[in-house]
Amino acid sequence: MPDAGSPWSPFCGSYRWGSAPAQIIVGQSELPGSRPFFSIAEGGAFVTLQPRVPRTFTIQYSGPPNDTAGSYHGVIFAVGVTQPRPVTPYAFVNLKVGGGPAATPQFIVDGVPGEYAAFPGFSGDDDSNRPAREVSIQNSGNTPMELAAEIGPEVWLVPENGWNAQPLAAGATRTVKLFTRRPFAPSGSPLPR
Amino acid sequence: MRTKDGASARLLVQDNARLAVTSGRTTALEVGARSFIVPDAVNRLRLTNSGGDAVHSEMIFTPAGADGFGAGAVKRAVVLVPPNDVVTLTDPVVQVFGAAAGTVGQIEIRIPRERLGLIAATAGVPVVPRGTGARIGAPHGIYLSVPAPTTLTLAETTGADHASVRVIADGRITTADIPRYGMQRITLGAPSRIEIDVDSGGGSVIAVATLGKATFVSAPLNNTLAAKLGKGALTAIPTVTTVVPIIGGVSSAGASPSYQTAVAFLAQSSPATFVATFYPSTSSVALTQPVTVAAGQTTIYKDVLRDLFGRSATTPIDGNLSVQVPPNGKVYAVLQEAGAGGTPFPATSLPLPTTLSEALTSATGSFQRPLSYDGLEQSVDPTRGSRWLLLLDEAPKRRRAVPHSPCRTGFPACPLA
Repeated sequence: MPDAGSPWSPFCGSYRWGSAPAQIIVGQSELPGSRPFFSIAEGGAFVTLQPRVPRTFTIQYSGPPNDTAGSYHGVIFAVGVTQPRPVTPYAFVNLKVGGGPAATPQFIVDGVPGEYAAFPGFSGDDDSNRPAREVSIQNSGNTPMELAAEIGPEVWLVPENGWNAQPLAAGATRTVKLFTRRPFAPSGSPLPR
Repeated sequence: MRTKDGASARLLVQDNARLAVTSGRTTALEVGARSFIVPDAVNRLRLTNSGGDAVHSEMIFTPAGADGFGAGAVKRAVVLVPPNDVVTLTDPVVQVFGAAAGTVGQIEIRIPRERLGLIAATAGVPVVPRGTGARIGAPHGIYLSVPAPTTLTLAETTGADHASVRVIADGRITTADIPRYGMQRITLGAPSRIEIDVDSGGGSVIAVATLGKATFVSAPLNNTLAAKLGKGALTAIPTVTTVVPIIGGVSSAGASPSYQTAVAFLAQSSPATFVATFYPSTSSVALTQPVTVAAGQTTIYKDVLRDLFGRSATTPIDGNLSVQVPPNGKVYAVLQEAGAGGTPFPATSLPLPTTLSEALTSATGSFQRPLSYDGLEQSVDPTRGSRWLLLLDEAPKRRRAVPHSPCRTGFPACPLA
């Protein structure tokens, strides 16, 4: 979820879910290291989503001092009340106080900017010795970049250990190895996936 | 992936099975058997299964210049398409068949007969049924309303026989012999009209012209219905209305090109008068202009709003251009983007359904059906496009939907099975 234009302005996001009415709870949490900095104006308990109808929630920012530079992170998520969902939709919330515009990381795939990478074909479920797929991450900004990543909705993709242990220097490009772990894929999930 | 400052980037990663690839085409299909032909194996191929059972789809790749029954060159693989799912194959020539990057050719997709209606195949070029194309005595043609440097792909689609082809592009003749299930690319200049004649051989050859980002598939050149019924037989047939979507601009955020639509009016065997009516999306006032075209001639409006209706190019406007087409007339349309220096180049050919098209839905009668379109993607990759435009055009007493990506060929929506 993108930043709000102003640290204190509300930001609206919406959800829609499935083809039948669904009762959900919208939860929120600050990530470790972040103090409470936002709330959902409408509350999030026992919300009924009508099929194919977006539901908008307003995020209000409050709490952190506005005279001290900082960046705060949280997450909002939705879980089914009566019926568990195959995936848990979530969105990150970020509040940045002070500082200039931040550079955006860029994936480099086979030498060119991209957002798609494919593993060469592989047979069998035991992929422990399968060669890694390499992609690069570029920091085109002029300050070091600290990175984190989430993988979903399935968890068969694994980055190499320590890929983000160090900040990515300004203007630098880092090659990251990606591995498959097919035993983590949902049962019956066909390839290509 | 995200940074502490809240910036983020995403990467879609695909895991692929190593498909068992074997050599050669084991069987020749019966004359009436159906399969799909992808004339030019492109970088994305999509198989949609609208049924409740998984379908094994056999894909057979014939590299350019090879015979479709050559044991060494032809490769074969089977892809399982899960029920109610879409399998997207990226760069199938390399990823599936293991050929070197840059290898070109055609792909035949065979579906078990009892599952044939469940699978739809789409690709970056038009996918045609087996047997489609020019044959001896039945030439095909392509009218290009916006001439530009053109690459022509010729593909034999029957697998029964070769075809010796004569390609006439603005008077220049190029010949080629296309083997069974073979494929060949020809570089042409910037023709406005391409004719494909088969001089010998029992094969059928489909032609696909590529201009910029746009592709145009060949169609029968003669009005075969008129030829069968005799001269003057079409005079009793009523006109049909063809709908041309007019895209003036993009309402979503972000950088977007400016568009203009070129429309060509073709009179085949006798003079024809078309009636073009533009319905602006922002006004209830329709604009109507007749277009009279001499026999055998084509009248092209490179910017139809400006050149035919006198609308200023500085005020982009969306709308619906309904064209009453006489029986001996045809209409073609191309969406153009403004390129470097403002020079437009073809972005996509526009699917132009008539009032008889299946890409229409309505509250009345047999037209009560949902329309669907799969394969919509959102991307920051400029080669794949960053947005889709959904156009809803009111056809006379009908409604249709045409999803369109500026970076991909536009396809009409399909009725759900």
